[in-house]
Amino acid sequence: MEENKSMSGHDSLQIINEMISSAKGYYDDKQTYFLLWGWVVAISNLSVYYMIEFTDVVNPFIVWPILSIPAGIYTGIDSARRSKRSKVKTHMGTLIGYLWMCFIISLIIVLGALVKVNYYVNPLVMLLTATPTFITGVAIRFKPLMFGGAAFWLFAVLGFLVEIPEQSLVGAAAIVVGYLIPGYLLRAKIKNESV
Amino acid sequence: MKAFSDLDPLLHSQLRLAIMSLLIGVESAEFVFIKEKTGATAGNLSVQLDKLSTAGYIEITKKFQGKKPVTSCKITKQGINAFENYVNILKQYINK
Repeated sequence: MEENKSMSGHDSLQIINEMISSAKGYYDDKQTYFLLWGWVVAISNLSVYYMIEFTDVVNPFIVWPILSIPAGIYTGIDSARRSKRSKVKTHMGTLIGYLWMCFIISLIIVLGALVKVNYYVNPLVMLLTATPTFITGVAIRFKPLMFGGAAFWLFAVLGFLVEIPEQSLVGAAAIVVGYLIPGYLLRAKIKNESV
Repeated sequence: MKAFSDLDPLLHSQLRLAIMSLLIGVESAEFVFIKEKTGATAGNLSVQLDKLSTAGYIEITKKFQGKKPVTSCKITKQGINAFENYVNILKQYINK
């Protein structure tokens, strides 16, 4: 880009448009987390259902911490590394980061109140997941993620209508529709755009 | 109504306008990011960043990531006002 070349009004506008849109289109490949957590939650839910219905395992819910603690540690380390490596910080990125941080705080409170909520954790978590998923979809202008977020509300209602073992099946279906399908579509979109 | 000649001379330059247009949309950006997006040379970019910083339009922070120095730029309130003013005059001129 030359420095002292004289510019017309249209040249100026073109530079402004070009630069604003080039910074706007910059977003990290957050779909990795949707895929990671999509599989963690789907496998945990299906394992719990299988163990309750078809085995004599004393504590089938143990599968949750076994899978989600390592996934949580990986998510924490990886997102810190990404943010350190990132050459640009966007307002949208910061907003999305805080949104998910709020979700994690709410999630910890719900998990801490496991007994108080009569173990109806699955539908409550689906309810909590709906908002950040939907808003992330709005922020990155990606409709499948918005539909995914909205689907969590529907599955949460369904979850409240069934018993605890079946809630695991509803939870698995919700995560497939809410995280995995949008996550894979987002990955395909990013791949296409980078070609 | 203001004339085209009223455009802020500091912003009415290809590279400085590009830098400000990039920074207006983000919270902060590193030197290498701005260099990559504008296609400017490191030397020229440094000079123009210094001019914008001296005018108070941007804030430059230098820190170390390990042993690697990292320069980060952020638009200031004064910079946002100057940019908005520039765009308004430009709009008036184009709509004439």
